Amino acid sequence: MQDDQQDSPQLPAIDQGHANDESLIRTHARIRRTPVAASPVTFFTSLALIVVFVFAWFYVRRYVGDMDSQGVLSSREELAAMQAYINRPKEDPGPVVVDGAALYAQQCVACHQATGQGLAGAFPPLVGSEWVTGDPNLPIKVLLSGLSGEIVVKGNTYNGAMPAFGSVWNDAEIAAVVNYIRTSWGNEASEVAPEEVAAIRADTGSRSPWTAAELSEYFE
Amino acid sequence: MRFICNLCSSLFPSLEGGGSQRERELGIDASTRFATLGTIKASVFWLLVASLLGLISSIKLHSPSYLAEFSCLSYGKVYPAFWNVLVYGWLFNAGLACVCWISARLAGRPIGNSYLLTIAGGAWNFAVIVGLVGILVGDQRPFRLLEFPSYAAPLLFVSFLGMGIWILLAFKARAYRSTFVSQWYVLAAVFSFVWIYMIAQVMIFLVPAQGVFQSVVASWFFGNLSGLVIAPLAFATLYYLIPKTLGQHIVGYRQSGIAFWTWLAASSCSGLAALVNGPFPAWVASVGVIASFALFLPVSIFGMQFVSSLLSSFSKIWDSLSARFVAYSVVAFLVASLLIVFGSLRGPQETLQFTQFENGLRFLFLAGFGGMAFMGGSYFILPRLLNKELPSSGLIDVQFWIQGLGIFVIAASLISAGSAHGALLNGSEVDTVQALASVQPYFFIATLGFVFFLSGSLMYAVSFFWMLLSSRSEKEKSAELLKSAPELEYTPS
Amino acid sequence: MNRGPFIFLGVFVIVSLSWALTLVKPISEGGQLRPVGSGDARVPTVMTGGAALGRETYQELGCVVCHTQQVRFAAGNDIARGWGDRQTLPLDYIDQSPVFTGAFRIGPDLTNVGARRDDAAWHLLHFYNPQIASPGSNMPAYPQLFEKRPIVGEGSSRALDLPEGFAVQEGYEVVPTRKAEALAAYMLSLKIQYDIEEAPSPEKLSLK
Repeated sequence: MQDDQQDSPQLPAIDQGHANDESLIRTHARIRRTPVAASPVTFFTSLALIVVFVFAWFYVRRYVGDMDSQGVLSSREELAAMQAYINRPKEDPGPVVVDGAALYAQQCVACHQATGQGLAGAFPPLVGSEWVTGDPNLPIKVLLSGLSGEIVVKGNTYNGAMPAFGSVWNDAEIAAVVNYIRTSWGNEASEVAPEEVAAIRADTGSRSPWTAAELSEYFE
Repeated sequence: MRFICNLCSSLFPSLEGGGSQRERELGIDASTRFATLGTIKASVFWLLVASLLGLISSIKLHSPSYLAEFSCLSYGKVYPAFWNVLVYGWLFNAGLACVCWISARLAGRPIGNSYLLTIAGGAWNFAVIVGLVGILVGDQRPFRLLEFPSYAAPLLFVSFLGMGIWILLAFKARAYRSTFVSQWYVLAAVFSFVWIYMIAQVMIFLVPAQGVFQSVVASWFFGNLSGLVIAPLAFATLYYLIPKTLGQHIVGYRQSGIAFWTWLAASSCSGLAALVNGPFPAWVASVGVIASFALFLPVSIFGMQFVSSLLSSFSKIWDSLSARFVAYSVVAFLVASLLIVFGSLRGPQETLQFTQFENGLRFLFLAGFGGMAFMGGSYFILPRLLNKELPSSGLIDVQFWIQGLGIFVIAASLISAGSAHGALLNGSEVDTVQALASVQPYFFIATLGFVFFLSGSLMYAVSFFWMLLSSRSEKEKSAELLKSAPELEYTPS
Repeated sequence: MNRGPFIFLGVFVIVSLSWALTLVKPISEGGQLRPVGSGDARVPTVMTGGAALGRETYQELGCVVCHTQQVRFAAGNDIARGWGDRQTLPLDYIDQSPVFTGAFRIGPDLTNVGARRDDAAWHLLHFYNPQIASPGSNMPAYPQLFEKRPIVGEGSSRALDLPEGFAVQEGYEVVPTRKAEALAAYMLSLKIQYDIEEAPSPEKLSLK
């Protein structure tokens, strides 16, 4: 800056301009029209063009891939590793846990009530009932095929029709409901496995509802 | 009725009587004087506001308790206010003032409808004021350079349409069949801004894209705003000023077409490079990286054209106040563009992503390249509009060095801060508080840079208003202050 | 190049191609995601009303200027820092408009800040004066989110428990405004507690 000041102590307060507009347009239009032999400018332009194209070529192959708009990974190794993870052998999902309480709430509460007390004179209770907490075959058979006619529960006689759930629920679901009623509201009976239900289902096949008499063997 | 007549007369201009070259120029300048001067006034005002906001935000970066009692000046508001005022306030006004005047001059005849330019310019600045207030009261939106609240954006868009239409009319009314490269860039900037601003507003706010895709649109817009709007305005100014101030034709002018189209094509995707590794489709960011790298081609052409032209008349650069701004702008452009090219590759981004590197680089590109070009342009234009001499070439000389030093210091310190911070932030598990504390010295230096920058802006404002308000000397009252410029010399080799 | 329409057409084609390739294509292919599951198992988790209110304060104060909300897997060490345990995916953001992915990290990433700092009182103290909760931080204080008022009777149960050195004068208490409460609720809601099968994480990609 100091040197400049010394070289030209008086900077012009006005730039008079070194080209008028008309000649500026005319001259440059002429340069564009005049074909010239290859100059350093064209050489470097071509060089830059090649550099850009080579880069773009490799970069597209390396990173753009198949333009998957769902994917956020770009490097090939990571994409492959992620793919390997997605395709990993999935472990056995394990036994499906069926919620017996939910099934009871859907199908059973209307008659037996949420408390398991039933309705006096109409629907028998499940709490403390020998039909529920006794031999596990009993509730399974009743659930699978239903029960009709007179039965005696806790000394009271009921006459109604318990519908069959064998075609509604699978073995696991029947087992879950049986386990729910056998272990709720103070009932403390043993649990049953879906396999037991399957065995009984195969044994009884499809049949009309049980009567109390047919099941009396379990009360010996 | 008068509007329709004016419209017709600018669409189908009649060739005015001969007169001398200088008389024609006087007529052209007179036709744009009011509008251009108004826009330059606004740009000076916004430059001061931006410098002040920049200084405040820079101080707050290292001393968070500074001005803490003003809740509207917290860093989260000052920072977007600074960038928006810098771009929409200063650079747009200064750039449009330059290119409107250049368009009229290159059209070769007086352009009517200057009231269109005046009204649109006024509306634009009103929209910027509304937007600035909106940010400070807390109506900002969370995307870079789209922070202006929803009530400012439509006015900004419509007022730009007004200015754009005027520029199209000026192009349409030109007396020469041939065009100059400046005119291409002016048209490109006008078309691009209308298109990208509309896309951004619609896809982010009116019919919002889903989730992260709003950020994709915002990055696209941010890259395009600097690459397809500000940069073309600055190119138009540089291409015009180099022959005008140096009497030197653009070396390698034949390559301008390739540079023009490749610059537009590459810039139109380059902003997406900022998305690498984020929760965005990876290939979109990769396209951004490729586009940023492809900038290398036009940048090398621009570099050869500008640098060769400047070197061919190197001794004359220091004889003209405008030319030194042009030289600074060219150097800033080359440095910033090469940093954009290499800084957007995935390797460097692993360190530099999310740091102040981006801010330093953007500041160098916008203020160093765009801003300095427009300042050089305004020093060239003002004597012609006002028929006055520049008041104090010594002051402007000092302003150039101070402003240039300020931009350099800000850019250099933020870029170094970004590299150092990024190494700690992205390459180690140092606590974020400690990582930031270790780059604190760079932020102090950036504040120093903003002090320089603000001083330069003040000097610019002083010399501008001094010139505007001083009474004319005897010499300045005559029409002979400016001589007719000579023919541009060119001898085909 | 001497005709305006030619330049207009060229610019129009370039910008439109860029728009179609890099915006329309990915948005039409990847930007139409639907939430998975419903109720408590919904992915992404539904934001509560208080947190949604805090989101507006977050935008208003410009928090996005210094804080990102994106966890990167392939670069940086976001996961080692405990900012998340996997890469975030577009699906994590589908409920957010405007989205706060951010572009600068002057402060830490906030994608999972609710999991790291699960105490609303900590956040309130931090907003009131960051020097209390994280000394040396460059974050500005936001006292305008709080009300300083004389203690009446027992005092408010919501008043800040200010430590020694930051306490206000005798007989006064500092109570958070609704904005501060909402912002704290938003901070607590910022946590990703579900996994997405396709989201890269160090456990899934043992190579990293």
